[in-house]
Amino acid sequence: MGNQATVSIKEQNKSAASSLLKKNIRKFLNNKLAVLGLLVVVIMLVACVVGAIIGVDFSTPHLDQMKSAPSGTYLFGTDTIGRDLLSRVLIGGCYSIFIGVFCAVVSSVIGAALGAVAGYFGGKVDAVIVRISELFQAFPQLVLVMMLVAILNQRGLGNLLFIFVVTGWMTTFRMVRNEYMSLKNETYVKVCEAFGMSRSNVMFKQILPNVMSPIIVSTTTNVAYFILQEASLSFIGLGVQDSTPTWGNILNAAKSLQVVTESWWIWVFPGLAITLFVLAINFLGDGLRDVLDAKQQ
Amino acid sequence: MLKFILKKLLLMIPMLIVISFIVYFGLQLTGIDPINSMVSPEVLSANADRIDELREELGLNDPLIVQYGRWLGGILTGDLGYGLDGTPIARTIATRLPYTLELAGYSLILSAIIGIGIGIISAIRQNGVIDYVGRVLAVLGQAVPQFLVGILMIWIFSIKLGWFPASNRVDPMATNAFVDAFLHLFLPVATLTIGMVAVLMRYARNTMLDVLNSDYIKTARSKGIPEWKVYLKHGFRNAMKPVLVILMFRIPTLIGGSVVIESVFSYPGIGTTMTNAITSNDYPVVMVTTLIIAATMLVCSFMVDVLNALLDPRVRLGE
Amino acid sequence: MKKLIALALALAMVFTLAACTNPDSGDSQNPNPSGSTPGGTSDTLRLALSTNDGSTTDDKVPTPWYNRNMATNLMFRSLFIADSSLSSVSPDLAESYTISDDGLTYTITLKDGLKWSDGEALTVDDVIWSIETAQATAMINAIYTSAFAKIDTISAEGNVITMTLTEPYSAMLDVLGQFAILPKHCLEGVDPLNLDTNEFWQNPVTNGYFAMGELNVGNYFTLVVNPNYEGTAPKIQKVTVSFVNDFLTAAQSSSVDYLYGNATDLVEGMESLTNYTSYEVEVLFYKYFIFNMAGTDGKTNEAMQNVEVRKALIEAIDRATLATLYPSATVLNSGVPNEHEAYNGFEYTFDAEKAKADIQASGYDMSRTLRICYYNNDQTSVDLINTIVYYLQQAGLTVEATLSNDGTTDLFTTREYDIGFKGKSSFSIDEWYTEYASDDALFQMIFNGDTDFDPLLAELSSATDTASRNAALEKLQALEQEKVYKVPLFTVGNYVFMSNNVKLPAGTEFCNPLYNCDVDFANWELA
Repeated sequence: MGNQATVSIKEQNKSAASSLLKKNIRKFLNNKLAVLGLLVVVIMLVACVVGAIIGVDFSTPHLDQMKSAPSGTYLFGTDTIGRDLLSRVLIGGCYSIFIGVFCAVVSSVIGAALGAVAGYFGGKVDAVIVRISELFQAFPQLVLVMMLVAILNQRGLGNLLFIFVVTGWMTTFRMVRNEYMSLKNETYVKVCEAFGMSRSNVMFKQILPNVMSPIIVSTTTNVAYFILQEASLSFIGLGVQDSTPTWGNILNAAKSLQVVTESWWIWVFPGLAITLFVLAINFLGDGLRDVLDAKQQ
Repeated sequence: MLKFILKKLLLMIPMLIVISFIVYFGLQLTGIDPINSMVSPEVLSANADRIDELREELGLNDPLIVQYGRWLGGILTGDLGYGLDGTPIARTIATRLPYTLELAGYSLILSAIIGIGIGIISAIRQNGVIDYVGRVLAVLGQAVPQFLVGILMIWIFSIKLGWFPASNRVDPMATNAFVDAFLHLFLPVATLTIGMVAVLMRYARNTMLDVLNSDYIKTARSKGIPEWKVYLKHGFRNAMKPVLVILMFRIPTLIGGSVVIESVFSYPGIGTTMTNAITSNDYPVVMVTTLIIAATMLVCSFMVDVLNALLDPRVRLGE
Repeated sequence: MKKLIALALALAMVFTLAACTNPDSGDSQNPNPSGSTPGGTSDTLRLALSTNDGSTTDDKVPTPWYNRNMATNLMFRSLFIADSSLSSVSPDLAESYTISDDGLTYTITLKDGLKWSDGEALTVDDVIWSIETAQATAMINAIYTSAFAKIDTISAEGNVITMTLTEPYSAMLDVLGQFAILPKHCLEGVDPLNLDTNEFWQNPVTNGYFAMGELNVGNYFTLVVNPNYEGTAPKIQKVTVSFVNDFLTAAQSSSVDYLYGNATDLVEGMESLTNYTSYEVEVLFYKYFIFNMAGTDGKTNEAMQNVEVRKALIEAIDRATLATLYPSATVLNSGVPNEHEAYNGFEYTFDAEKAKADIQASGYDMSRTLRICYYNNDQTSVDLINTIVYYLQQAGLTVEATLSNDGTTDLFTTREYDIGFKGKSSFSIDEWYTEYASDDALFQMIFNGDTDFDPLLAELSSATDTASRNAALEKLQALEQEKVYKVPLFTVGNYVFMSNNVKLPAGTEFCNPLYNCDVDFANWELA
């Protein structure tokens, strides 16, 4: 009897969820900008990955054809040592998007986990974690990058990923912590606790699903943030080493005003790639917020 | 309330000490020997005994913790020490910090006014021309890498048009300090502002929309209060509280941004000082600039807390 | 809160006010964005110092004992002054000189009544103090230390300085022609190791055309005519020196009258500006590879010991193609340029296929990562390194190139690399070869203090006639091509650019911009 009841409740939940999902998808599809954003993101991602898989040649210099304008052979033109810019932008996309997605996801997971613990337990645990987060917030990213480069004696991709994650989890943390602090006093949480459900179960199985939407939204926009961050760090010479073609490194050629004025394609295409992707991600994030934000439903 | 503020203030001290500790020992871990940067290797091998003397003089032979204590003691008594190039750090900071404060301050004020202004107008005239144009510009301002905006600004406004200088803060031949300041600050401030406006505008628009749709605005309208008064007195005031909090939150981003922008415009501020110190391994300067930035960040987050507490008594009770 | 908003509004109004008072006309033909009165530039020569060269910081006048530059050339003089070839000098602070026949005794008479800009007398004491102090100071160009190391005794009587050498040194006068004499009475008590960072450089006392005006940290310093200069006063009365981090931007926004460089971006960019004239300058600017062999401290790099490996690596690199990255670069095969009469005719050839086979045959561990270290971060250098990495990868190697923040330390102290990429603006061919000396403080750390070059170097430095000099150079070339410690890629042509605001007297010739020579500055005029 009890069994049957649970099953039926579960099924009800399922069908309710699926109808909610349908409703949400419809809502999302109505937001034209968000759909456009999603399309652009997917197209760029697929293009980059396909480029990497078929192994476009992004590293062969053609010194006899340096800085040649876009043409039939080189759709995006060539860079300062005659490498094909289209291939470089595609491969650079793989690196930059990977940096953005990896750092956004990992920092969100860390931020969410710590936020959940801090918000749910409160008290001493909370105070300690909050202090730690403030510490990281106050610590200049540049100095961390410099120390890591000096300690490891290399400017690898790993450094950058590590530092972005370490300095990037605080916003998600603050948000999740606040949600937990208000949600832990809700009746359904109290009921679960009264039934003797384990704390980790309450925290991650009961409360977390209710906090998922803002986490997803902030993860999305963080992808854009980290991509821009990578470009800035490359610009002041503290990014990934030059031989790795990230979008930031490719755009670095625009440091020279001579390139800016005489060879527009060298900065316009990577600049456009960054801008377009970041725009698309932001639109996508806005769309997701509209769909997922509980307040607006 | 006073107790809350005091408690928060006192908490900043151990935080700063922990940060200074991490920086100090982190930099020791890097194995950078200040002697290498101070003395060229030619001299190093030719004057080995003098180098040992110098090492002793600088106290580099003492245990780390002693060195750290001495350094911290110096900082607390206002002695910031010397950079590897021999300049007193206090003097470097005294000349550079005002430049950065100028840059960041104007950008903050300007972006607040423009961002909040456009935000409110687009909320009031939702879906109007200003709303659309503003939103498009805001999104773009956020998506184009800031240094690229800066470089394009230099290209257009200082090279093509010749309206503004491309670098530095003071011109040797300036006759009017005020005009000189305006000319040199315009491009970097504009670049930083473009990046900042976007976020503030979106935020101001959203909160203003929330407020305008709230019941008390509807009540105020129904009471026949003039429309502008409704917006200004009821709408603006209520919408501004969260926007101010966001403004404080943006200060760290502003500092990060100004490091990059200072480098684009060869602006002699604290950001350039820090980047140069980092790339030339001048770690006494790195430590002090780190502390200054960390302190600024802590003060900002302190202000956010206080603002939050002022606006929302529940936060205070929660503590 | 209200106060805060009020404050914000007030500041905003100040800002708008500033916007309204902007008097700039924005003449796009000749932009002058300085906030100065129109025509304010016409009586002032505008120089710039690049803060990107690693030795200049924007908070003081750079020491003339490391690199010379136009600004410090106008402030500090030497006993002699060179012509544009840098290898022929005439007296400057000196009145006259004689050299004994054996080349071991120099007698130099100082001019009478010389004065520093602060009114103190400039005497033989200043000269002797400068020469003695230079050998213990931290920031010093190697040409001075290697020349002054040959000085046995130095003494003075009245106005006459007598200097004896331990062995003949043919370039001694040329070196003294670069060496700036500094005021003893200002710097006497300073630790030589901190000399270049002393507060003196905030407001230096000078002995040249100009004295220090005002220093604005982070922005510029100005020069005013030195009232105590004994010669003809220059026609240009005011000089400003701005700290910039990019010469090209400064030129494109018309805020500098004189600049120099060798990078493609700069040269191409300057050529498209019509209001500058370019002068190609003959310099010995070597771009070269160094191999990290072993240090005198016992730290050995096993992978590079086999000379066949080193030869094969060079064979894999197409130096002629790399040279096209620079506006004017000439490939060379030793320290002696190909067109020099002493060049021995040897050539490092490029052969990708043969290189691949040779590396395999040399027994080099192909799974190992070859490490390249470089320290210039301008676009052309980065491009060059990326291309070199590509060539070596084509030869089947795994390569990792690292940009060093502190080149000297990483190349000679840390030494975590196989091939180093270096640039050297050389005073003379001799300077290229003195790097092989077993007691060279830097290079003994990577060439293991190899003494094989020493007798040939002594032969070169004491050679007084062309024939014996060429003979010594030929032996040195043969030895360096056998050892393969250093491999030159090319020499890079340098350019000086002068704005059309400046009218140069007829026959002005520029020299290597990092050294000092007579450019007849007193007759420069502003248009």
